[in-house]
Amino acid sequence: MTKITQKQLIESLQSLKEIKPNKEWVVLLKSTLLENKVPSRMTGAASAQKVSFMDSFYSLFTQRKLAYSFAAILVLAIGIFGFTKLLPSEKTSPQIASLSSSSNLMQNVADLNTKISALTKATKDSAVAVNDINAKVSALAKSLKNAPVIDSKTINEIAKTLADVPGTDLTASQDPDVTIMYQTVVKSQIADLQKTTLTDDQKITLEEVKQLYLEGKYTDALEKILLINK
Amino acid sequence: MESLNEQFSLIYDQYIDKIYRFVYLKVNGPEIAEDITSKVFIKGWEAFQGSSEPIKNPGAFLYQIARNMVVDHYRAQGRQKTVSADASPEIADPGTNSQDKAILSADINVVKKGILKLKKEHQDVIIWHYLEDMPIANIAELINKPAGTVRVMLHRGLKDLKDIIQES
Repeated sequence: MTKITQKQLIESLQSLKEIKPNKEWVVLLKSTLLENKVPSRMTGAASAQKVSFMDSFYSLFTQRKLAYSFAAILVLAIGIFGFTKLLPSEKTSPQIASLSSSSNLMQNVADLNTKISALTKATKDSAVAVNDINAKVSALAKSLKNAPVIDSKTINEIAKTLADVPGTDLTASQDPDVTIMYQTVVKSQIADLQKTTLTDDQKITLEEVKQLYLEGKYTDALEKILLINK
Repeated sequence: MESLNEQFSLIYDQYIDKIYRFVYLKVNGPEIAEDITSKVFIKGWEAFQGSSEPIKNPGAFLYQIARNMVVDHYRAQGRQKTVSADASPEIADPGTNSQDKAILSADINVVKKGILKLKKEHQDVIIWHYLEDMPIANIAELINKPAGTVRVMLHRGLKDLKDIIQES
């Protein structure tokens, strides 16, 4: 603009009327002022859709029936979660049971050992002692029955203990658990011996043990096994 | 209370563009103009609610607040008339094509720059009279000066503005 008349200047000034505030801002400010609320920045259809969606979403949760149902489901879910946490899981429960049975078994073995050593020192041929030993062996047999998985070390321990029982045929007792215990111990011992390197004499003895096992003479078989181990 | 809302709503609709424009021509950028205009109407609404008697001239009242707010703004900024006119003004004319809009925007920037270089008292009267079509009597009342003085101010202001624009 080099030369400008007064009329042109006034027209230029009039053109400044084109300056107008942002419509959204105008609406926002007015609603803030007069309605004491701060609406979202969005206006128009998008805003209307958003508000409508949010309103309906909110209204869903304010309906009584739905709110109660939701609360009930929430309580149920929390209850189930808590209950499953209290119960032992499938992975852990057999281990716990096994450990419990194993410890019980070892305790019975220890008890039997103590009783045998004490009684053999005092009254070797006493009938009372034999009955007591029988009772302890029965307890051990029941423990063994409850603990199906036993390591060979434990079996060896039981075998030694049973072999120390002085001059009594424990299989003569009518307790089937005791018979099963002897059977288990002998079978396990045979399996262990087959894995080890044996002399010719030991091999012959092992064959005899196998024969005795097949005949159901577990105590005799156990005695021969102990001879091999010595 | 509802009637107060309605009354102020009408005042708001009538003056929001004018107050915004008045502030915009005196400050840097639309954001500052929006901020100051918001404060003007908030203060106006508070005064409107707290006043026992109805405000006789709401326009003059709002302009007065706006003037003070602009002064406060520059006081806070630590400067009085150092204003950049680089920010492009918003032109609400959807019918204008981009070329015309650019020319118009350039003209507006030139005029705006010129206005900003005027004395503050000249700025106000020029904007009110030539831009907002405010009668001289009202301006006189607004600035509490005789109508004759307002005429002189308008004459001098317009001459200064012409010189500034021609020099640019």
